[in-house]
Amino acid sequence: MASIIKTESLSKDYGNKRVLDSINLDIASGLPIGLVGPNGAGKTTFFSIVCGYIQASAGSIEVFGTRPNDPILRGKLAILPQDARLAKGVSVLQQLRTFAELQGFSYKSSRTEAQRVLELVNLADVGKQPPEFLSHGMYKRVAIAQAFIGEPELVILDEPTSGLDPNTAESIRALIHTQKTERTFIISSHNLNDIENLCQHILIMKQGKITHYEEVAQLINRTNILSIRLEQVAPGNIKEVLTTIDTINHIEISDSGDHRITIHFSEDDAAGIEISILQCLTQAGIQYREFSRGESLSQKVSDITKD
Amino acid sequence: MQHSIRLRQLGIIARQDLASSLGSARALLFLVFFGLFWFWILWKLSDANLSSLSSFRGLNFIGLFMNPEHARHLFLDHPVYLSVYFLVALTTLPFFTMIAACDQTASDVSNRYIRFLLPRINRSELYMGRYIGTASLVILCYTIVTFAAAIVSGNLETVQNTGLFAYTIRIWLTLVFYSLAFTSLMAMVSAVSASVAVSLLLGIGGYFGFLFMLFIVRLQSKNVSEYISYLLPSGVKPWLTSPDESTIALALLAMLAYAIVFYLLGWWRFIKKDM
Repeated sequence: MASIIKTESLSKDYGNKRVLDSINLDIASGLPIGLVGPNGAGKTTFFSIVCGYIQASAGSIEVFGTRPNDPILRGKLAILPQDARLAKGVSVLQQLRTFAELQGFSYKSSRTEAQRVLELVNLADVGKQPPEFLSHGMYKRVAIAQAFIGEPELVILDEPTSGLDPNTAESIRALIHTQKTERTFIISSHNLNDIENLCQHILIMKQGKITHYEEVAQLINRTNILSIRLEQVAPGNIKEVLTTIDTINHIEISDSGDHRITIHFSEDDAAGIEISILQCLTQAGIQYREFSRGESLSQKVSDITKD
Repeated sequence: MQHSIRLRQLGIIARQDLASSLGSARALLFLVFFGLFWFWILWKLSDANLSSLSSFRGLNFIGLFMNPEHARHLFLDHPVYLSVYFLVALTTLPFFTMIAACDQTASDVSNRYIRFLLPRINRSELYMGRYIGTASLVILCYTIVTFAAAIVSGNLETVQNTGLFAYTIRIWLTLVFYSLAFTSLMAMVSAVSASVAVSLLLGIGGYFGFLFMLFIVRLQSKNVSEYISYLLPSGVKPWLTSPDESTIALALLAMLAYAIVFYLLGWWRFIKKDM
């Protein structure tokens, strides 16, 4: 697969503060990538360099084999910027038409294109309204709609579901799902369920550095680990209850307050282990809320990015 | 080319800038203020006894504020009403232009709207498009007011139509070039500012601060203050009312030079700036 973003020792400083620290990356086109990390990790700064909003302090970056801001990237690269505001007092449809025109659509065809992307985010009926009259969720969807104008090959979404109600967030996830075979997505989100459900690869940033770049499945080790989220705090005897099952090697009890336990088992009896564990829990009167194969991504990322 | 200009994109940005001017509170404030001010001035001037300005005493009085030779040229060779309009317009143009042109790229950056634009156009196109949009608005306003003043002048004074037309064109051209210089100055200020408010404060505050500093220096040395005054387009303003055509042509070229220099300085800052 072709490389879409390639960096070598990419760094960015704001005054004395190093926000990105010698990032070496080679992101290939194709599968959706999740970019995660705590606040201040450098995610938005990284996107800003990719899109040419800011310039790197050191190192190099290539986007589709050329430097950011190269005219060749116009129409190939689209972004949902995290905190950009649409122009006040101008209708949403008119603003999307302007974006479409700037991307090369004729004045006439820009209307069709603007309506198409508004329909894509289920907002066909709000085109005449200026953005300041829209709810937060609608505003966000309009901002997402502009990223789908034309046929971008790379779509960067910075926090696409933050601040959205569950139904709206679900509609955005569904949109990304339907589009992800046609273009490459890089999605930054604090909602790790989104990353787990939408992305094949994950990039983890911490303090301006890339700590992990691998497949989500590989990171959370789906093969011989089970995660169970209990209804209440794990009782003191839970380890004794579960270690009666021979194939369990190790049990971790989370101390982060989410009542989660992680069970490592030998791969010899992968098929029957889930049933055995459920039986044990039922017999001990322990109720669970969630039962899943592999480690929890949020727990894993939390462990990686913890200070 | 990273900074190549595409005419179509330029047109779209300029058109968007002009259209949004009519919807933005800042531009509406300018238009209302500008409109009311000129309506009041033109109305009051039409009622005033301006012919006294072309009398010996009148010219002596005006000679206190400007070159007496220029005053004689304006009030004896040309329609008095239009000349008074010309002088008021020259005096107030920097202020009005700075208000109208304070937000060329400043709010694009402060509200990060620019982040929607930059994947679609380059910075040079955006900077020039905003400049053209703003300059068009200012020029349109002065075109309307200048021709309104010419119509009133034609009704009030007995002058030949050809002479009136030629003088109106001269005034209009002068105001266009003078406004371009200040629009460029504000393009530069806007490019270094983090918000519209800062841009307006820097522009108008800086301009009046500069005039005050000039006044202080003038008390010490008239020559030095004259040299310093050429840092801003208003330093060349006295040339614009000259009876000598070559001096006027030189003044217009100087205005164009100011416009280009300020434009390029702002452009240089804008293309380097983190957005």
